Order: sequence, then C-alpha cells, then structure tokens
Amino acid sequence: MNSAAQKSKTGSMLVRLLAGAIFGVAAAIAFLTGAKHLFDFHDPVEMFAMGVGLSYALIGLMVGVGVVSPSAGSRYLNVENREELVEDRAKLGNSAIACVLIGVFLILLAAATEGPAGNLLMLLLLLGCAVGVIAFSMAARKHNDELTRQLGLEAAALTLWFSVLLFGGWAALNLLGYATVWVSPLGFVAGIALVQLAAIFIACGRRGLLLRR
Amino acid sequence: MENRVKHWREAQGWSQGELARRLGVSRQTINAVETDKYDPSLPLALRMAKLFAVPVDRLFIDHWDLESGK
Repeated sequence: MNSAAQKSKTGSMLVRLLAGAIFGVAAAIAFLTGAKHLFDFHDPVEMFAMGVGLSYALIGLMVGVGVVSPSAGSRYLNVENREELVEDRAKLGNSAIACVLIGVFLILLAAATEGPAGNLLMLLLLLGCAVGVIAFSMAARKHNDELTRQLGLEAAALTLWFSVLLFGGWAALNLLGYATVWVSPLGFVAGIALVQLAAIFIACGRRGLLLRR
Repeated sequence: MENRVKHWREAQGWSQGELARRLGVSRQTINAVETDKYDPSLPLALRMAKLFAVPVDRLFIDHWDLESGK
C-alpha cells in the first residue's frame, strides 16, 4: 500500500473513531440525563454504573446489528467485508448478546431500589442476566480460534492487574487514612466491568485489531 | 518475528479469507500474523508450512544470533 493510500485510510479511521466517540458521548449524556429523572439516582456511583452498563449495551447492540445486517455492519465494524461478518456470525452473535446482557445487568443494578419485594424481582432478573452471560459466552467460546483465546487471556490478565492496582491501592490508601471514602459494592462491580472493557480494548489494540483494515 | 506468510499466500493466489478457511482460523488471525502483531502457535505454524509446502524456517524468520545470543 502506498503512503497516500495509507494516509487516506488512517484519516478515514480517525474520522470514524471521532464520529463514534462523539455519538457515544452524546448518547450517554442524553440517556443519563433522562435516566437521572427516571430512576431518581441518590448516588453518583449509580450513574457511573449506569454509564458503564450503557457502554456495554451499546457495543453489544452495534455488533449485534452488524451481525444481523452484515452489509450495514461492514461499514462501521472493523472487518474486511460483509462476508467476514457472515463467517464469524456464530461467535460475534453470541458475544454481542452476552455484551448486551452485561450492560443490562449493570443498568438494572444501578436502578435497583431498596425493599424486599423489589429486590426479589431484581434478584431474579439479575440472575437471568448472569446465566445468560455465562451461556452466550460459552456458546461464543466454541467458535473462538487461537487469536481470540490469546486475546481473552491477555485481557483477563490485564483486568486482574488493573483491578489489583486500582482497588488494592484504594484499599491501602483507605487503611492509611488517605482515601476516606471506600468504594461501594455497586462501584466495585461497575469498576471491575469498566476495567475489563478497557483491558479488552488494550489487548485488541496491542494486536493491531483496532487499526482500520 | 518476521514472517513471509503474505508472500506465500499471494503466491498461491489466495485471499486472507481463503487461507483462514483452509486453516480453520479467523481472517483476523491471518491479518494479525501477516502484520507481525501475532506469532501463531507451533501447530498453526506447522500447518501453514504444510499448506504452502515450504519449510517452517522459510515462512518464519528468526534473526536470533547464536554467537551473540541476541
């Protein structure tokens, strides 16, 4: 590929990334503004969890739409052409559903209200999401090849190290009296999910999978 | 590690998708190998060599020097 074509490809990728980022931020702000009134948040951590959940749900939906409509998906997902989406349909479809369910899990958790009756319903819904995440992740795993497995291992290792650094560091500071506010259970769950999302992007970026093909 | 997978694939007239299909991996894997972002496992490297009918060391070139150890 000559340098002019490479520059054009890089420019196109940057425009897409920028457009995606602007759309994502705008959608998150719009949703969180609406959700703030709808769910009557008492704690900024609830909004944080809702934001992380929304990120998972949006990513899953975008991949899911791409799998259902490969022609449309090939325009915004980083694939060579629509056939690649058709070839990877089983893996991507199951992963997309698992991703949406993780998002729904976090959104429900952020919106959970106190009270035994409400919590029982919420518990069942969350349990359904958790079972769904495990089932669809296992189904996607059957179609993984060695690169996907390697990415999974690297992302899992990064998630562990970042979590230890973040929450372990926070715990140490809290013990020493420097961080007086300790992370809430909701903040911990949402924090782990955010760290995992970041780790997946880092692992993919290191293998060049975020570069426009 | 340097590799000549793209060279041998193109010599066969195959697309990345075609090679991926023959090896039972995803196109992303072939792309990552060709762009030196991922070193394949030994079984996959051996299958590639078998498919192209070339020795592995003509497909994957290691510049490690025995004398200097670098």
